[in-house]
Amino acid sequence: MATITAPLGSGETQGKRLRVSDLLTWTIDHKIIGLQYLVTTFIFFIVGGALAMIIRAELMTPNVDFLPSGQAYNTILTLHGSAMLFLFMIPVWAGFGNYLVPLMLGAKDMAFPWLNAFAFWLIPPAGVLFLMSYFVGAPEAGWTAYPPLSVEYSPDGQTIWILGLHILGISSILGAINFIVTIKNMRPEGMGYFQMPLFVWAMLATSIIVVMATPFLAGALTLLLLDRVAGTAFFDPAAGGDVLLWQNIFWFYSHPAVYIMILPGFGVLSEVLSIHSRKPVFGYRLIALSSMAIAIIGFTVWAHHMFTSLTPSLRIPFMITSMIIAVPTGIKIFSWIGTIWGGKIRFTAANTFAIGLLSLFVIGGISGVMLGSVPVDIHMHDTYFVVAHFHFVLFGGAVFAVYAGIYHWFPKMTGKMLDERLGHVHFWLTYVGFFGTFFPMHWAGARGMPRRVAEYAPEFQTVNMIVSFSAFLLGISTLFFLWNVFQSLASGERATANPWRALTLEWATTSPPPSHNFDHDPIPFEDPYGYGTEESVVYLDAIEQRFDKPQGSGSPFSKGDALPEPAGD
Amino acid sequence: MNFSSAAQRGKTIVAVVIVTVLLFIGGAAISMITPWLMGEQASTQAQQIDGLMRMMMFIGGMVFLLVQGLIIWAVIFYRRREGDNEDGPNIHGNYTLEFVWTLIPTILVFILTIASYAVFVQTRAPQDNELVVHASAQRYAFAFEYEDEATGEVVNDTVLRTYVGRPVRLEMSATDVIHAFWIPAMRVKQDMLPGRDTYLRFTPTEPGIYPVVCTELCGGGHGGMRAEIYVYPDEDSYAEWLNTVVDCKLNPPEDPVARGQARLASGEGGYGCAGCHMLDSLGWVGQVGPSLNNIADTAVSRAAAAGNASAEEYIYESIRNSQAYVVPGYAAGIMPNWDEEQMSNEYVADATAYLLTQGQNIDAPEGPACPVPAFADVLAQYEAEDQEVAAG
Repeated sequence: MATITAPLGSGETQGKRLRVSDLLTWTIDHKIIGLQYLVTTFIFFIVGGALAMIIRAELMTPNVDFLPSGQAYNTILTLHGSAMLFLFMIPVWAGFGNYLVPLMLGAKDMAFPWLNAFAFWLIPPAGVLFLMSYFVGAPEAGWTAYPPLSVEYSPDGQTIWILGLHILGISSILGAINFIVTIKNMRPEGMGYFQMPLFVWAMLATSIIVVMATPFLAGALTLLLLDRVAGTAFFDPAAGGDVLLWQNIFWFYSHPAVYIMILPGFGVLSEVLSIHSRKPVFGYRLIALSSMAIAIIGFTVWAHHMFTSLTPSLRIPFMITSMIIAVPTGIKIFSWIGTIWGGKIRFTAANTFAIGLLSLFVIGGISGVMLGSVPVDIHMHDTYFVVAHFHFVLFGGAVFAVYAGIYHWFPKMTGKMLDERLGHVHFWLTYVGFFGTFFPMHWAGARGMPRRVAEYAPEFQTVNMIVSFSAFLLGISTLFFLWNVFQSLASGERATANPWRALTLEWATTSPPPSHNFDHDPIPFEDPYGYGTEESVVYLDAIEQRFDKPQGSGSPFSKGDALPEPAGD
Repeated sequence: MNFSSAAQRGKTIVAVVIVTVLLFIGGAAISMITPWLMGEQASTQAQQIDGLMRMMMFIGGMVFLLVQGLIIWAVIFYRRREGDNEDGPNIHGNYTLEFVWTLIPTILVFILTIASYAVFVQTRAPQDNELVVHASAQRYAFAFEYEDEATGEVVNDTVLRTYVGRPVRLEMSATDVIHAFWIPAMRVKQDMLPGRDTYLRFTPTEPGIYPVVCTELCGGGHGGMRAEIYVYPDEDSYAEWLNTVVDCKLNPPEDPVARGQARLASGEGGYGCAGCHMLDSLGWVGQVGPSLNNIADTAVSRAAAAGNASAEEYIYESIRNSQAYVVPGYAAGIMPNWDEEQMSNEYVADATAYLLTQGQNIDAPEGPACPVPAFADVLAQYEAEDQEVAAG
């Protein structure tokens, strides 16, 4: 039975150290494209975070005093939401997916490498368009851009915002097609769908949502654009249009988009929890299939964003579907607890973020069920309770997953280890800052504070003070992360091929991998999470033997070992 | 999970029972904070929705404690010990367990869905003898219209007034963008949509003043778009107000200044002036547009600066065509233009007459346009009587 499935060989090609200039060149190497995505989106994350700091500074007092006007506040708010969702949260997963999916499948690249590069290079101009809209009269209708506000009142920047979003939509669709084809066609021999790593499953489910939902966003944006520039009246009731039409089409995309933002994070979580707790994923099939279930049911719940505007008789069916979708999400949470239960939990920074995610996401899940109930939602809709809810799922869920993913795969991507101690400082500041920022918002919202306001009733000043100071702490915590990254790139410890002793294939090559990924087609271990078996120990030892003990030297790399310089230097 | 021996099974059952009991106690404790979370409760809808919320806090609280408890337990007891480089056990799942944690959430959301449906139907059920009030929204103010049943006269107000025990049906419309009408203390909310009529029902249970808040982003002044609802203690005190304003309406003052004051103070026409402008004499606190305090004086100087117009023309023209004179420091086009179909000549003339009295050294009308009993006095009287009843 004990088949030694680790590939054998010698003289493995070592990936080159990456230069900044590599990130600025047109390349079809999926790994560099992945890093281009990650770096670009992280820059937008910082921009969005800085905008959030401005928002919190304004909200420290009940009156408009930090910013010149309520209108100025709305533009900051619109750009914060748009940048975080469309320029960070959605494309950052394309970054992880690009880097990891071909490696996890043991492939040399994505199915359509050229298309892949094209999809990425749509993002910088779209992002610049988005942010530059500020200078021609920034959009002020929020990231949801409800007409008539977005058609008749929002200035020219709104048109540019539409164009930017259109381009991002194209980028998303192209990326998703590429993922679906890659996952369908490029799995190695011996890897059926149910032997795929769960991150690959998550990217598959996500890509299916992207391909099905994003065209609806494109349609809605086209109608909005025509209403703004061509004098049509799709959303103008005075000329026979309907203001709810936009809300229906927009949310038909944007609710599934919530899963586009969180499902890959779930995938990361499955990888990180299993590997760092040294135990197989509990209920692999249920986790994989619940992603698909969420992807499908996710298309039937959109109007729960419209419980206070939708025709009353239509609200109940959407409540039922919204409640149902809590079940597969609950299954995932219990499966992850089952994964760490009885394991040998290692508190690496990656795993700490993953476990922290679990504890935060469940709060977002519970408030989500509350909001799914029509009568409660009627009270909570468009209040700070909702702001708390979606930050718990998107920051406490997706952003924590991004951090867990970076701490986990940074050694593979750069060949350098991150500083674990700084990672823990980063985690605790983020966790405490996050909790202080978003937990009190539940109370403010339930008590009567609406969202998207620059001025509010004086009774909410104390809670907003707590929120603002915690938010500043949250902002500062990011600096520790950046410091960690830069320090590690400059003088970090050299990473071995498989520092976490993981069984998935991206670890069966050097760190960073050479441009062709693998010198020989790697043979996947029969179970991507088969920890705790003798076979897995043999397989992992073989990988270590092969990559980290170069001929002639008995010891692995030591700290400070340089990576090979890029050719031509 | 290992059911290999009877002793093991017994231990497991005991553990499950203990955990379940603890979760019930914890969930019940968490559900006790519901009143603190939701705040004052002033309608039958609020009672029903808070009841549902309490149930959700109970169930949600149990889930919260279970998950956090399991995480903390795992973190403490399953952490890797120093020097232990072994892997954990090779366990891939447990069908019984997975079935249980699929089934229990399914049952829970099923219960919550049924309960939510029941409360939804309850809170929206038509009532006998509903008080119908029309509410309209325009950036950045709400306006209300009441029809007096006795005379058929329609009166306006910027405050929503009703009384304890009388079910209200609000018929709502919006003229410019989408607004949302929320009374936190009543737990009711409904979007006000241009081109679509919507409605809302609630039955007040406690006299008092409660905030009304706009919850749909409607522009720069969204945060300031607030109103108040006055809940009168009984029908008599409400009727006293209504009769007074109907009387004022039926006998309008001869003086255009007084008429203008009455029209502006009542928010007639739902033009939303108070949402953007500040005018101390009428209690307007809007921050979006220029202040109208001492407008009679500023109009003179601005008219002079603009050339030949008089102060009267300046104000009249600024209402009809906001682009005519743009106050320095404010963007053009923030204020809508009101043509004759939307705003009658008489209205503009009366409003102008009143605004021309707003200056230093000008005799402005003293006291309110229509002397309705102050609501604070009504409340104070009710509370005094209430205490007497309690004492006697």
